[in-house]
Amino acid sequence: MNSQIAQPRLYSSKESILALKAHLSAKQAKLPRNSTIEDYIIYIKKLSNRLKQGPLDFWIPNVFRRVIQVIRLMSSEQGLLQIKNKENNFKDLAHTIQRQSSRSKTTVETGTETGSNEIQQNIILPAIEQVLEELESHSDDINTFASTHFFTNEVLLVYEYSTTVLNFLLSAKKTRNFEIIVLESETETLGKQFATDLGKHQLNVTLTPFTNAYAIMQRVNKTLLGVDAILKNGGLLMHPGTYAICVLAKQFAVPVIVLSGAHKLTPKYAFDQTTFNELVSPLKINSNSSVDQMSIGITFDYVPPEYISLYITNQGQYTPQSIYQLFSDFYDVKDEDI
Amino acid sequence: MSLCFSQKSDSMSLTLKKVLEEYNQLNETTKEHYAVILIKVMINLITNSKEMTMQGLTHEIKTAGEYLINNVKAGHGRSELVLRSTQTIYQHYISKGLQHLRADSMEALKQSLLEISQEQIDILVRSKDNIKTQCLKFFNNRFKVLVLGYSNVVLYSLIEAFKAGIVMQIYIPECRPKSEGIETYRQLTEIGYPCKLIFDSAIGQVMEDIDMVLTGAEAVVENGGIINRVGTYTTAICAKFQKKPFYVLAESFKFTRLFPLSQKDLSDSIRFSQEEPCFSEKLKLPDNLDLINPLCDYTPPDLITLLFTDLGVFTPSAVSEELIKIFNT
Amino acid sequence: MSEKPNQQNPKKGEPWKPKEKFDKKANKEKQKLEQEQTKTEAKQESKQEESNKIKQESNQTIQQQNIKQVQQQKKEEQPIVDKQNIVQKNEQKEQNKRQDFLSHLPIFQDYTSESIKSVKQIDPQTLHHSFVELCIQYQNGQCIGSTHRCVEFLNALKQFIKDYKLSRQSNYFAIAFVDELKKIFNLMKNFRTVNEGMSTSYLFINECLMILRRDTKLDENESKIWLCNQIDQFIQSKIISASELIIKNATQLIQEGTTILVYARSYLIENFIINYFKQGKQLTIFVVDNPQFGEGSQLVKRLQQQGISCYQILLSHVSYILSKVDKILVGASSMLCNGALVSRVGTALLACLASTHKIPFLVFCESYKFSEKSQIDSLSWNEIAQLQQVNENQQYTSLSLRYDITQSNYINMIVTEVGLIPATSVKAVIGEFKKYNYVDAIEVPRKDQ
Repeated sequence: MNSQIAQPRLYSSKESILALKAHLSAKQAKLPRNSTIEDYIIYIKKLSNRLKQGPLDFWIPNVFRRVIQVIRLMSSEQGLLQIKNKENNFKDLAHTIQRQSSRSKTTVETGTETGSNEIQQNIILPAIEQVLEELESHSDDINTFASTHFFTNEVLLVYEYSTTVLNFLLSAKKTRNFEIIVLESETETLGKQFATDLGKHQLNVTLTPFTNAYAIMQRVNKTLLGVDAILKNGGLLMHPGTYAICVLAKQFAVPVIVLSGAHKLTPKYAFDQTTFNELVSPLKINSNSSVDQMSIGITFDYVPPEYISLYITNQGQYTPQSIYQLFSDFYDVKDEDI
Repeated sequence: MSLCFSQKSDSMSLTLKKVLEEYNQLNETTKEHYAVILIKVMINLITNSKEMTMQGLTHEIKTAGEYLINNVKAGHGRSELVLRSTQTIYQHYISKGLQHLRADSMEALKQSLLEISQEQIDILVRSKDNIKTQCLKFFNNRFKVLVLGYSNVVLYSLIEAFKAGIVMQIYIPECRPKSEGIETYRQLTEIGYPCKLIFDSAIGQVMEDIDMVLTGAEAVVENGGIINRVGTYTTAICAKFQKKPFYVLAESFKFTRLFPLSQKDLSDSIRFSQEEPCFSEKLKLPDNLDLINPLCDYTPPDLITLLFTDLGVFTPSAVSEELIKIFNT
Repeated sequence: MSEKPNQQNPKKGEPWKPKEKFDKKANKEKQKLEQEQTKTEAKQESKQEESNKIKQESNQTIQQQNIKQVQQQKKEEQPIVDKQNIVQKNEQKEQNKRQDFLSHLPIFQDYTSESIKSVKQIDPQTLHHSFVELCIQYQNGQCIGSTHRCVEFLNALKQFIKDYKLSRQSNYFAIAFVDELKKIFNLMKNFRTVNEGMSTSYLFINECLMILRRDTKLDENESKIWLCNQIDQFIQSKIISASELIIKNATQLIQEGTTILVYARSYLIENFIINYFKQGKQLTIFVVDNPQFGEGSQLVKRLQQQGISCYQILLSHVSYILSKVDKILVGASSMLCNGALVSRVGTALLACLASTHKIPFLVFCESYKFSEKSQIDSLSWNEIAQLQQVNENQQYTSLSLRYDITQSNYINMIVTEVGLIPATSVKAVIGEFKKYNYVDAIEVPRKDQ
């Protein structure tokens, strides 16, 4: 959660998964010798809850959720995971029927006994590797969409610092020419850093304070945003000020495009600005504020789905209305409680 | 031939009458949801059925279901939509079960069907609990909630929330012409909820203070819209204008394969209620009153923020996918 | 209106016509000539003096331009030899104009009390020290806020009038001073953009001088005293009592216990809040701050000194508390005739948010800030604030504006001293004011003898 690092989310996701890998390959002892896939999954869930830094840390649970899902997929491919018992809805009624039919055939399949070591070698570690690979290549995958979204001499608005957006713009620059306006956040100076990084690559960059957003929006053709968490209802959580920018963009009919790796998909629902939020210390907002000043500062802005035009992820492009499909592919509903 | 046929249809009409009687009796004596009653009646039908073939049994179940839907008053003056959707889903799984099952005898087959039915009842009963768990995650003490109409699942969730220590300020519109709001008000105040009853015409005025709108639904249609008691649409428009979230609590057996695009697309029985609306005695009504008295209205998906169902929390656009999943698995 | 002709000097015998006055403003030069023909020889002398002066000036400026051109030519010749000069030249260019889409906006140079004398509009000999001080105050942000700036401008002008000495050749104060005033007004345009309040007061003083010249025979000293009095009266009626009326209106309007949100620092709103609390009534106050100008924290400090507690929040964090806010109050730099509001940058963003959340958006504005201009976007006119030091190696352009134009559809109400009006009625109010010469009838001075 240290926001001074330019790329905190990716690092913590990556670090946590590396930690998981190291942990699982070194410390076998904690799991009994004949533990099943389910045991592993429960163990990983426990680890995730231990690593999680407070309720607003979505990135570690997200990446662990993904690992579990990949483990599930891999093991069901190899026929190791048995269909789970009774559930509570109609979807599983079909399973019941199938179970009944298989019972009537009287061929009860018992999974071939596999040792935990084998599971680990064949499923767990490859799954972790796959997720790691997804994390590392997400930027490249997003960049493949770069050239398709801009026209020549377009004016683009970006806010705060986002490595994904930076890479996307640099990749788009190869085929298109455009102007970038960087909105600087009121609390952090990363906007300056962003402008400098973009300027290094001979892009036409203008840096402007957050308050100028309305004036500048008249010139903007598209808004590009990075994101802290994509929520299941198609909304998102991002640096404070994003909501205002999105409202403005809607007023000026400027499309808002959100770029993000799929590891930021967070299977939760936000209902208003207060659902996922935390007040920050006044000192962080205003270094010379005294204690008696009642300063209010927040961690996130929640942007409802109607303000977003498109999500570009490494798993494809989605509208906020259809992003739930990606959720159901990417995670299992059973793991949403992590 | 003809004699044989008439005999058969005679026995059928007898069964149908029996089914209807049974349903009405259960509806009066038990407090169960009428969707549950429907399946219970069906279970009895299967157990007592004298049909010796699979086709015959399926046919019997189907006819009995249709007959019930057309002849029954569901309770609280509801439309037949819930029964219809429940019946559709029930039918779907019965035929699914019949396809898959390779029973040795008719008795074993019946047994399997009964198992499926019983499981469906379990699902129906449990769905309320599932929705409640979803809801409790976002209910909060400081909320002001407008609760629309009388809905089992909404009431259950609110009462469970109250038991869990979450007390929200609740505004209840009267919900003319049936005035179901008053029943909701009674049940909630009985357990000590702080409630305020408002007139339907005051919804616009109150909307400003409210944090969210909660409503049940009689049916959730393909595009994620809902069909519910008349007034829901009006309230949803109001909420949308004020940018207030509009949440629908609906069990998955209310998902129907209807796809209305406007109010006109609803069936006539829903659009025009046959019941006599009650007016205050003080009012002097004109003699030939030409009254439009719709039973339900259709609320399009863009007015709905989220749907809380036992399958999970959905955006309206995800409903069609869930429907496909239900009917294709 | 009907009383006015009675106040006119009967000696002149000319009936007063308001319409004529507008024509006069439009054809000021023509009027001047006409009037001056009817006046005494001494005046003709002064007129000659004036025209000479103008000629001299224009000669001077032409000369200056010539010199500049020559210099530029020289520079243009040099670059081939000297690379450094190119850089210098480019830098010079950049200082005056931006290269991007805002190249039409002027950039204000930083003046010191010395370098201010190099401004070409003014003769360094006659530049009054009060304007030098004002310029410094404008630039270092000590004098910020439209009302403050207008009042300080008028005070400096008063100082100047008091110290002003008629040159030997001209002996009629009113005529000589019109040009002087024009020069000063043009001078002010070099430091910051002139706000609408200042324009109105300029028009008003011009009007006063016109009356002074046409209708009276006051001598220099008396004219000065009268003019200073008029300025005082302008401050009193248009600024001080207007703000009192607005505060009174607002106090009636806003119910006790309301949650209000205010942006930046407006004297009107500050005084309104203080006044409101003095009456023993309570409000919940959110002050929205922007770190560039820091006006919100100033307001918070001022309120705290008065024992009023309020929440402080940044503009970008405002989404969190919007649902709790009942009313948003902002001050104005000016109101344009299309109903648009000119005020601190960020206001339009706030107004946009307010309209999506259906929160009433109220503007507090004295009517002397109403302007006949109209504008529909924030970029065609604005002022660029030089708040950050430009780094040598910086590979990007930075841009910081001072004002925002908020469209009338975002504004629910304007609280003025003439009452509560919708944003669309600005034009009507301006129309009323034009009838009355921007203030109430100017009392024509008479020589008491």
